[in-house]
Amino acid sequence: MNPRKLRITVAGTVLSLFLLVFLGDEAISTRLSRTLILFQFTPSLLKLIHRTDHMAGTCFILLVSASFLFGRFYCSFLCPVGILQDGMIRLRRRFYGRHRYRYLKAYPVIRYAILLATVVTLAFGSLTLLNLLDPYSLFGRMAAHPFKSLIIWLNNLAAGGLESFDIYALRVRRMHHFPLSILLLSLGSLGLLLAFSVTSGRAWCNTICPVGAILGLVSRFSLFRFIINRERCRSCRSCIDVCKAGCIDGKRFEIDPARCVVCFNCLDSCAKSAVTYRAGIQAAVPVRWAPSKRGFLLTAAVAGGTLLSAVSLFRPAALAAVKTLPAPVIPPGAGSIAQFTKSCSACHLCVSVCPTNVLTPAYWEYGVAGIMQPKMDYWQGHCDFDCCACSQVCPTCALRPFSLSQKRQTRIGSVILDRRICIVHVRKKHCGACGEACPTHAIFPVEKGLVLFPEIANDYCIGCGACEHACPTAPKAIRVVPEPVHSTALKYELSAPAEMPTDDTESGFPF
Amino acid sequence: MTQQNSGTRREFLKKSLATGLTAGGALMFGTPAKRIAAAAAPVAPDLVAIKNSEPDRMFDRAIAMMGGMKSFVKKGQTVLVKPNIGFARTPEIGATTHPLLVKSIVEHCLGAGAKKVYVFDNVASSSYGTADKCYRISGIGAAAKSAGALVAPADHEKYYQKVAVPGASVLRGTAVHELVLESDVFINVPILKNHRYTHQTIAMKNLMGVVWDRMVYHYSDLEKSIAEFCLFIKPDLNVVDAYRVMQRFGPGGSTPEHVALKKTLLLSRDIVAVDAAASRVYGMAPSKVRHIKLGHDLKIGNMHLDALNIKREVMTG
Repeated sequence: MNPRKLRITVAGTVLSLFLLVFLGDEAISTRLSRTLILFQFTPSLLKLIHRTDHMAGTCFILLVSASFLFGRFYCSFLCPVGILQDGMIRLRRRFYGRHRYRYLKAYPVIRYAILLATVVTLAFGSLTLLNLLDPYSLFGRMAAHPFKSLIIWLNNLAAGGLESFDIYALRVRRMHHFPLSILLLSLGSLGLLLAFSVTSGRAWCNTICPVGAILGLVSRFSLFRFIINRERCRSCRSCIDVCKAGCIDGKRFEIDPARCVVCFNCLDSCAKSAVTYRAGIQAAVPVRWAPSKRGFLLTAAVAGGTLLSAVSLFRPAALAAVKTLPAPVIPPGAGSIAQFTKSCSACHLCVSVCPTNVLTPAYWEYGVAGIMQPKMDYWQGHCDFDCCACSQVCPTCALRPFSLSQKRQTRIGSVILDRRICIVHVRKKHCGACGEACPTHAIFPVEKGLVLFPEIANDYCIGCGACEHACPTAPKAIRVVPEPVHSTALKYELSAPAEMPTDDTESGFPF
Repeated sequence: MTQQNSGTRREFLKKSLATGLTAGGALMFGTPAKRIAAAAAPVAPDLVAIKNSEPDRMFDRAIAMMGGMKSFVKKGQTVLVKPNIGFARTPEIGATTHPLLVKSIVEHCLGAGAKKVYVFDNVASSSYGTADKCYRISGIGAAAKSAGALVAPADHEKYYQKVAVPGASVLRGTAVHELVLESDVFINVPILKNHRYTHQTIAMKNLMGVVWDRMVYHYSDLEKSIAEFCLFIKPDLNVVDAYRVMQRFGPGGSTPEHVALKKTLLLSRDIVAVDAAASRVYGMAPSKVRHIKLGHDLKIGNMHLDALNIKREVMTG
């Protein structure tokens, strides 16, 4: 098979599956995410760092080993942002004709500065830059917010139309809640990608993207690479015309392996078969900067930095430095705020899949530790007792996968009841909104003078927020206080139904 | 917008007037939405109580004793069947109406010539995304569909229209599901169960599932709001499922051990009377349940069962 066609087929499939994971419902996402996102660079790296017990770390090693063999194939075959840009380029070609690319100057200073900044902040325990720039997470946020909102809007339009004919096949869905800042940031990055891709191909991947930079460093040493045969080449420049990465230097008959995204366009375009993709070490050394020795040093620095972030010696200090807002409630499976913020890449897959919309993106609430990581927002909804979809889909294991029975006893917060606001205490009238919503028997009624007052047994509380969401007062009389480190709640033992009336179906009626 | 709503409401009142007359209800001048259920057709009893069989078979018998479904549903009419689908619980827990009963009622309505039968409930949790689960796990969604009903959603504000409640002192207005306003016949199918904060939930409280913001009830005065909502509309027929009666941990329930098998079905036009009778089946004096008493005081119905014409039958299997 033509390798370029193979690339297009694989990439098309990957992008469609990614869209399905982010736009589809709970059942689709939980099934697909596990396998699909295993081979994403940043999630598997974060797993390697934080989950030594998990096989996903192996995927990262496989990914890097494969890049040592084949170069930056990841950027054309697996990276959703890369594929998305290729799609944009394709659309541009359809409407405005073929773009003729030129050999682009490399901007190693910008590129490696961004990479170093990302790695250094990561080593100091802040995921802020990584969250902003990681291509997988970038794609996730674009899919989960602007794309998904559009899909929901279209769905609702169709559902509303069908309902007027008494057809209830589609359901009217609620728009996901997210802060405006997140939407603007997602739209902004989408616009930026669009601008980069239609004007200069894969310039984003070769100037901004830290994953592209790392893989570029690796690809300097890759076994398989594109090589131009000087004897055969007629200097027709057709390969340069189609090179999205702008990495073919026609004067020197060289292809910069650090910037080549292995799209096979050049191979396909060459009438003389002068371009080949084969094993072979060529002295492909860009003269101006970075002899491979320096590149190797950089690679070592990057690797060291990431490993350092695992040890995270500086982290507590960094966390303590900036903490202005009260910490939010973190989702079940997160373990602790420290654990969560250092392993979540803010891809918002959990936000997208959460059926009650209780998971919403935070913006700055976690401080410098990481931006846009999700939090529990009980104004939007409560955490369904019978659901642990978020922990099932999380690709970085920031939310550890656990069973429903584990989730049902995981305390992410506990409640406090403000008796000065509570309707029952203030007006001595029945309410019960919190009690009837509570799934764990942490709220129970106590009868005093014919009025049933809500009382709290926090031993059973898991902090699901059903009570807070239901509470009709403003501000809420019952509120969830976050547990910075999750603990285990007691399981309510149902007392024996001693006073159960006997089966009296044969007798008459009590009236 | 307000004008449109009041237009729909007027239409509805006209419809309910017609239905009320044909169903034998009397109309009180000045408060048109209020029908006096006690003054029903002479032959039909005020309340039918059946026990000791399966939900669908008990309904077959009960509706026959009530004069047949044809005395409630006329040919070509639109019917709303409103069960309790409030929780994502299987029927064994006793938190939701028995699916067999819902199925049987839908079949009877279609058998009587109903054009359309709608089934919906605005589930207990106000969190978005829980309704589907309740419809599915309760078994009611599938049962109603299999009988030919249209299972409608109720989890979006767009389905609700603002209405005023005439004569109310607490619940002066609320937003009601449009299908309540559009349907000619309204059949209320609650389950009798424990409620730890109102003692019981039966027919009157089941109507909280046709309004959008139930938390206003909780905030203002729960039981008074429950009673006063009946000033806006009273169902044409109330069918109380007391087959499995949850005795503790209501309204959500816990395990089947906390459910008493009462195998009882109650039928009445009078929503207060049927609540009073159900309360006795549960094992409590109706006067202790505040909304029943308030309903009686507001003359929505009669909680004094001695004053009513009750037909009882204990079936043999």
